[in-house]
Amino acid sequence: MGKIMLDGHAIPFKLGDNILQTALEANLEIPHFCYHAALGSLGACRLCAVEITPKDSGKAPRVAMACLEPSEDGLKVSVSAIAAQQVRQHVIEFLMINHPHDCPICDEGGECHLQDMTVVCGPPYRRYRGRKRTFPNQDLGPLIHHEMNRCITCYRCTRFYQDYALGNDLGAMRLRNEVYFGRFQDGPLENPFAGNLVEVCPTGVFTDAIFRQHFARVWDLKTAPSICPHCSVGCNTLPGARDGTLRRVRNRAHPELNRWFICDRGRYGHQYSEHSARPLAPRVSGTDTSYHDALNAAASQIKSTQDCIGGLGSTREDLEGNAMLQALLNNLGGIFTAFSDPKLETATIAAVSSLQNIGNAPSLAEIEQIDAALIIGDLTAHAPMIDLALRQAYRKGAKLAFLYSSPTPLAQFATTAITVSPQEMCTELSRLYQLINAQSAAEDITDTPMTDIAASLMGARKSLLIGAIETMTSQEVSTLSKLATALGSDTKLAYAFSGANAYGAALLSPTGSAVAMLEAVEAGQIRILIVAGNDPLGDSRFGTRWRAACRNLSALIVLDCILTATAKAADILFPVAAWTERGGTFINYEGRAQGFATVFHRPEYLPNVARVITDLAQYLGHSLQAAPSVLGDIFSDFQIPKPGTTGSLITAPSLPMPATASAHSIQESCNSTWQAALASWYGDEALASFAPGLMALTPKTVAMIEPTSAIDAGIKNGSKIKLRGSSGSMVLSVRFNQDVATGTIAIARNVLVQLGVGHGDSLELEQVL
Amino acid sequence: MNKKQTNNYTLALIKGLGRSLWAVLRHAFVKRETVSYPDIKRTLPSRWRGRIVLTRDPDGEERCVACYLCSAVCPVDCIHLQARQNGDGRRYPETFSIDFSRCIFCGFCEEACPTLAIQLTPDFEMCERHHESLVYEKNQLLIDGQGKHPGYNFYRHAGVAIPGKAIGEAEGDTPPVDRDNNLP
Amino acid sequence: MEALLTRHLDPVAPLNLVAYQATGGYRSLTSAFDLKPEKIIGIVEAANLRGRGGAGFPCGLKWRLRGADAPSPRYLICNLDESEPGTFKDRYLLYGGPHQIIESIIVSAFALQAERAFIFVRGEYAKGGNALNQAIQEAETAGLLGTNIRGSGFNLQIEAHLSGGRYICGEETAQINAIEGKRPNPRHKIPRPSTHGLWGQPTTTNNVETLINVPHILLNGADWFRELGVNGGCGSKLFCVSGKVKHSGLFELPCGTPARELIFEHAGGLDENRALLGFLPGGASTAFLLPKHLDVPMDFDPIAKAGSRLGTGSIIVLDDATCPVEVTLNLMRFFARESCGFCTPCRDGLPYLTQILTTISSGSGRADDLALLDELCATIASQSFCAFAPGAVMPLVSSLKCFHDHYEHHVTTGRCPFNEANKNGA
Repeated sequence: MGKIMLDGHAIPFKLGDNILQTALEANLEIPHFCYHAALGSLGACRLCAVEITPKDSGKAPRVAMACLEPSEDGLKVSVSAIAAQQVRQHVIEFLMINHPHDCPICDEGGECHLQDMTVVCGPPYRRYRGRKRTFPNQDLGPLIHHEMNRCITCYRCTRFYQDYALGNDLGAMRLRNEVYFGRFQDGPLENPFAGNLVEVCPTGVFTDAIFRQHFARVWDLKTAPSICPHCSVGCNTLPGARDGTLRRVRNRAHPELNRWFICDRGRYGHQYSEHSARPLAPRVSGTDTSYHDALNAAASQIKSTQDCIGGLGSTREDLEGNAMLQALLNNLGGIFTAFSDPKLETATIAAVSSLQNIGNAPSLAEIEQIDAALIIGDLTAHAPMIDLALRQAYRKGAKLAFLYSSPTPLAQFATTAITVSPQEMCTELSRLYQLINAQSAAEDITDTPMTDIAASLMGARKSLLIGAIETMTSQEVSTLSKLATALGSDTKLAYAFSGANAYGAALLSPTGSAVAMLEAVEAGQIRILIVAGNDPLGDSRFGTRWRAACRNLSALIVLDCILTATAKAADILFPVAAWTERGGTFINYEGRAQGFATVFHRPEYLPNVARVITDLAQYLGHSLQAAPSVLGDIFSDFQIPKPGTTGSLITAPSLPMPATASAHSIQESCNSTWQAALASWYGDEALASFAPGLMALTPKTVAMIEPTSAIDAGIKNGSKIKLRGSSGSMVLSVRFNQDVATGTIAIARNVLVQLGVGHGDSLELEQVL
Repeated sequence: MNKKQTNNYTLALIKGLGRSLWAVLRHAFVKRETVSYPDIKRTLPSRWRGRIVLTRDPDGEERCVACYLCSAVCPVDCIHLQARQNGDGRRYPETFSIDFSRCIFCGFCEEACPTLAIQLTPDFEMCERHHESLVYEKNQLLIDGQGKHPGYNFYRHAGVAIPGKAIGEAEGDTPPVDRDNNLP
Repeated sequence: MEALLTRHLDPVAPLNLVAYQATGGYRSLTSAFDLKPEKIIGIVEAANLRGRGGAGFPCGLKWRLRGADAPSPRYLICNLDESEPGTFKDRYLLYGGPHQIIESIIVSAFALQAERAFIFVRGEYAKGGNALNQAIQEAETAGLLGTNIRGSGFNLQIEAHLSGGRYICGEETAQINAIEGKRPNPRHKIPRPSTHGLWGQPTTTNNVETLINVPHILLNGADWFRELGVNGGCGSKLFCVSGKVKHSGLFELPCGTPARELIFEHAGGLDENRALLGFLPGGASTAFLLPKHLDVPMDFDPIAKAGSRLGTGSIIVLDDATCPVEVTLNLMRFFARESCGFCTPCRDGLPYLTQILTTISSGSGRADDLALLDELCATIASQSFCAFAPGAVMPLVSSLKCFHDHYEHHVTTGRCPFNEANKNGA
């Protein structure tokens, strides 16, 4: 502990920090390139030269690299010393020898660390009279543009990609001043966090290829603090817009969630708001109309009906939108739910309830500190940044155990990985619970993978149990929470929910409201349905029933910013603002309420859901309170969180744990030996599915089957099969995959929707000759 | 005042008036500087800051690479553009507009331009009847020539590849490194 | 003097295990196993055996500083990655007598109580590496390697690791990275490799010529070893002589033999009518010495006092028909090519120096180029990440001082003063 003297100023330091870290903590910039807070010191660029005066007065002052010198109490350091300046000037001169004359056409210009450091430390003229070395570029996929000439060989890209994100298809090749950073072969980068190269690279070698299509300089971009809407982690982002269009999304540091990085879904999924098919004008019966006329049409429908009204919110709608819709329905005496999938509803409510009982889920920073984890399902697809946090824990030696039905990229770091079919998952979790409950001091010598999992969880200092809610049942959720209680207070529980505001949606939806809504529509008791941000007609498990039920409706009123199947079928369609065009609140997987602000406005009038509902209420002759008051009534002491702050945990009444007997699962046909499992990937999300750049990376649609199950059934690798579900069929190629459970066929979401089956439902298979 | 003083004063007054009148009369016969515009037009130096144009490079392509520096430096924010790449990767302005009712003809944009694209020309005959007509779009700004600075093609010096110039073919560049070969 | 290290070497037909033992090979194992490891370290320290890989660090001191309480597993690395221009002594040792190397590693590993040893062989010496592997097999079969060697309770495994290529693999921490399968960039020296080296374990690296002295020291004693040298030098040294001499070659002579004897007696002197211009005493990355230094003993401290380094003891001779600017340019081209590419001053600074030298050499140099070279060398030498760059600029800095007139001539007249007709020679 103590203070260093930096050019005469006393700066406090933490034990173990080097001089550069100490300065950066105090907001003093010592010029540097290769140091990065997430990646540590390297000592390669030699730019952070400072002059150190040793305590021993006999020794002369020496120039040293600030990133490699530990801070000591009383150490005298000078950044402005002539000797240090001279070294920095030479280093910049050396780096600029080969740097191309690209600034005017380089996307990094204006936010380029090399530009800044050259202006600050470099020589104002060029003495080098030789020629420049050049590099060929690589095609790294639709998301990242590669311009290797600009490289200053700081090694940040490969340190992030290989050491931090644990990717293995990008690295350094060659040597001396011809070091080349790229893939062995051209092709898209495979890691779900590759987009961070754009921010990690201090020059313009890796730039955002989507942003490049419609480029603007950073100083012209309109920005505001926002929250990523693509999953339940709630990473803080900084979107940039210009001329009424959204251009890009960048990381915005949150000390406990995303400090430096976001995933590719968050970085590139924003294209949904610029999609050519995005609804921008209200429509009534297929004709574009004005906002006023649409409200009139909706109001007259509602006023004229004697039947019930239904209000279907969404896990991806903000808290204000869901709450206002609920308030309207309360006023009208109708039913509100935020879930179109009853199974998802009970699982989500069970999860929130158990979190409220056991304790809040750990933040990403806390997850990085665990030393053992049990992961149920595919975390990479449902909460990519939690995957990245677990990779950091793995780097520190954490033992990761997996129970999964379909492939998940994180399992390559598994200590123990067991494939379990969806219908067996609950049984397996109960087995694990019994193992741990009965364990106490007895040492089990059966040595099955399950006992390894039990042992590693019980022997851990800090452990984590986490599951992906979309592919779990409420029984599995309640078993997992019993497991967490049995393991004790050092074990944390977390869930990767389905939707940015799933936690909030669960707090607003009574248990059983989803099935009540569906059955009411099916029975014709509800004739008018207001849907905000949800897509019941496009659901995989219940889509068939919703499509049938909605034919009974006299009016389907949809509020959305993407043209979903439900939006296409709407009688009255209200286009609403995307998440960068409005302010609101999301509650993330921890229960943390975070606010996001309006980044920009489009030329068209696009209100948020809360506004449309308030206006609709007025047209109905009701007057609703403003959203903050409505929320204040539901949650005690609720303040709308200010965008740009760290957010705070929501205080909400405890939800009751749903009854574990699930009355609404589809009865499995005993004839079928096959069950379906969702094979997802990090780009698979409702909004991101409208982002063309990201969607170009969609994995090929195949039916993945575990080899022995396939061979036992006489199915050959690469052959064609026909899958049949409750609402349709599809012919697919078979691909053998060890990471699929036995008796299970892992298929993509769009296949599940076409077949009309959900994760864990049975389906029929026949071979196609 | 006494009478002598009064006379002296009057004399001085007449003398002064006479001098002034003579100076005025003299000027009636001096050569005029005034030019009878528009019958006679003065030749302005090429550095005279008048109408802004976008020039082309020696190869006939437009010089502007949509770097946004001119719009950034413009003190009155009268320049608006949007960058785009064509299929070959050459960056150019998809739209480029200058609002000449705002422009103060300071020449900062010309100084900032790294490709010598935007230049001010000695043309001030830009009057319009309607305000909107003073907003010039790219088709009104782009000329066919190289303007005041012939011979410079920015892409011959930049590192990126464009049609007709691969990586390593710029002035002062060496052919690209073979990344698959570790030999000296 | 009677050859000590090269006595039984035959690159055409190196001795196999039986033949080597017949000459007295592997006797030192008995001497070693009778002593405590700390005692062996003391003997080596008393013999003043200095490292022959280039740095000249006292071997016994290096072993003692590692500490006897270093946690297991401990590693010994024998550095046979000989890439210094002008140096070919280790090649001769490898091709001529692999068993001598193995014997020296066994006793050295015993002194360090290292359970595993690696011999890092230069990639171009692959044939020698194969022969080495065969010799290791022979030794294992004979019970000289493996567990409980000769009943001593000492276990040792030796592996020959063939380098993937390039000069920087000879740097201690880069070599460790290479053995671990990573890119051979050097590491930060804190923590030192002696405590956290190969796979985070205590690791000691010695040049092969250094190690092969150890068995002889053990058999004959520290005093004997010290008396082998002349003019204050200790032990026997392998000197390589190349360049403008009649008979270039490898000569085993007492450490401390003056350069005059090496160049004019053993290497046959310069060509007819040619005089000595200068010489590099220890390979490419040392400073030039002038004719006035011919009588300085070729030993670590005297050469250091004369302003250069003994390095590997590889003399490169320049005569008065050789342009020193060309020679320096040749060396700088080599060093710029061999940079690993980790840190900026070496990666981008060495090609910059090479570019300036090329313009000077070809006659288009400018008046302020010489001052510019000095300015850049100062930063490159002092602010690089490892010792490669300081070594790389040493010949340049010294040639600018020693042969300043030649540089001036190039710059002012635009021509080489030697090869008027052939200015691109050398």
